[in-house]
Amino acid sequence: MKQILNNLWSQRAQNVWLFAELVVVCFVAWTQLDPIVVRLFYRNLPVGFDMEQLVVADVAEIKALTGEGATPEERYERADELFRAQAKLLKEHLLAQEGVENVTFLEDIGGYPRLEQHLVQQPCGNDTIFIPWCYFNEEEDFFETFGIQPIPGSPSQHEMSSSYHGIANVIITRSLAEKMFGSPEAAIGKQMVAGWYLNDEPFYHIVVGVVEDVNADGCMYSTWMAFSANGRVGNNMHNRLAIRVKPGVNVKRFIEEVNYHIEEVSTEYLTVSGLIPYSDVETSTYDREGEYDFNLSVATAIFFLINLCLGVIGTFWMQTKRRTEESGIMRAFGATKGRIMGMFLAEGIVLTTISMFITCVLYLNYVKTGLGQLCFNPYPSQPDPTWVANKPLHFLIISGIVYLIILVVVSIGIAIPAWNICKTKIVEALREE
Amino acid sequence: METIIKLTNINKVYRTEQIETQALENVNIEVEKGEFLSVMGPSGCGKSTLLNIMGLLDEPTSGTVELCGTTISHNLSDNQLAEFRNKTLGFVFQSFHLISSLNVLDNVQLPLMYRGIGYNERIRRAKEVIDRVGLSHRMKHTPVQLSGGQCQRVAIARAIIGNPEIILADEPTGNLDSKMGADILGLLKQLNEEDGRTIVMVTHNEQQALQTKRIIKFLDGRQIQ
Repeated sequence: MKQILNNLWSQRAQNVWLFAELVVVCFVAWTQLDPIVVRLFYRNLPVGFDMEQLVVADVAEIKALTGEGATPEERYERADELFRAQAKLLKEHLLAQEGVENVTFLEDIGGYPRLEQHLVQQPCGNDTIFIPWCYFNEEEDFFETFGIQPIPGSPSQHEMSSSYHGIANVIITRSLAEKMFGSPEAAIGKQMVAGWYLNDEPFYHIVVGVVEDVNADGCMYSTWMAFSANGRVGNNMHNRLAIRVKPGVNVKRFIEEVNYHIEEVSTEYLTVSGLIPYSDVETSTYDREGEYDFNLSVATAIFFLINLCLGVIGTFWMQTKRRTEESGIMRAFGATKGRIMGMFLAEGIVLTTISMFITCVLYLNYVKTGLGQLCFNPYPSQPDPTWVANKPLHFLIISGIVYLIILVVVSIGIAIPAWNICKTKIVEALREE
Repeated sequence: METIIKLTNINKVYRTEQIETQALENVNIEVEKGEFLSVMGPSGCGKSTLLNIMGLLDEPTSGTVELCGTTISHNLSDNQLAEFRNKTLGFVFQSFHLISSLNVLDNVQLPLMYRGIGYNERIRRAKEVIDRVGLSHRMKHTPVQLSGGQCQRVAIARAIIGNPEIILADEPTGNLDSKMGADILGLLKQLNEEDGRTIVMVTHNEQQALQTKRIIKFLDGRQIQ
């Protein structure tokens, strides 16, 4: 250790620049990685159902769905009826495919069924909260297909999908039930008020079921959620399908099979297209801009980090290369290659650790002065119990990740040239002055 | 007398794409324990190559090297060679080869560090040998703060701290003025006479070579005397 510190101290003139470079890189890496790590963490939160066996597809028209009638309304009604009949047939065709367990129609361009945000509160209550509200099509096996589980004492999946028509009946998640009614069991049969009014009167909903928590969105922690049936499947330009394939069936293979036998699946008017595994769907329904920003920030971060890391690797590479003679001397007096590698790497680790410490102090001040901030839940309506909302833990985790990345980068910058100079013959190494 | 270094039929050929240079040709040398041998010859005659082969810093193209009764075979791993160098050999180079970032004390204790000796013991022994080469007052100085002669003394201290059987000195006075050179030679002679260490010294300087117990001369990679 003493030799390592001696080496670092004796090369302090170069090391000051190295420090400065490392601090800048750590700082930039911090700002770039924080939103990405947070977003990735939210994306990977359990969604509350088995999404591995889910496939999402667009419903596409092969032939224009037009209806005959004297008025536009009549024509629209006929077209809607035709669509429903065709949709039913399409669903039957899909269910007849090997490996398909359930199918449900969705009404949204995202992976999820249509989600809106609504203010809800208990009747006469003051505690108003924002929640995502999910609309599903009546009698379309929504809960079965998604695999959203009812809590004990709640109606079955089939009952929830088919028996409670109209948005006045609401099914809520366990954590929302706990928040609003104290316990999930106590919620069933209770009323709640949503944030819209009929004739200036609050609109009351009755809780008809409680399901296990579902994380509503891919961009945050969001398990307070309500579901209600909003009519039958209709001729909507954004119609999509969710298909649950049986356990053990390979989803990618299933998609290939459906695409291959697309004629068997299609009806006269409708077909499915763009089949993708549910896990590949951009899951943020609220935050589509955020989703775009995320992709942009990932691209930017990758660009910056690659450049910065190449810079760091280059600097350490040069620094290490310069020490060929030193390694030759050490080997002449009995140092093994492993020992020399270890010493160079340990120097890098010490430098990185000190730089990271300085970065942490700088970043804390940066956040403290309000110039920067830690990345949090973008819609903080629901208290976030994860590390993201815990400032010290958040800071430690991101710092740890940045530290590890920079450590790997520095180690690469040292290990490769160090290994090369260790492979140099001692006599040749001693000639390098 | 016991033979401590035995080189048999040593050949060293340097090959590049265009040319092949025979640096050593059929060299046979035996050095007895406690001997002070000087190797002389003009530049490029293979003296340093010979010393590097003796010191296991380089491999011969063919031939056998035997040190302290151990035949150095190609099968020895890098780590085994490193251990052998550490315990048996001490080097003194013309350009000192001190680590510029370390002070005298740390430079000198380097071989002991690789031997796994504890810090306190290393420091004690390093101070002892530094005292012996007359540099007690320079212990905390770095090589750039020392004169050439002092650097070479540090190099000698480093060479002897591990108590090696053999010291290999490659033109140890080559970068020094005559007075300093004489000092260094005196020190090497002292190590040979008082400690009985075997020393092989490469030199250009005939006057200095004459002060050693035996001289061998090289010309064009061949031992001529």
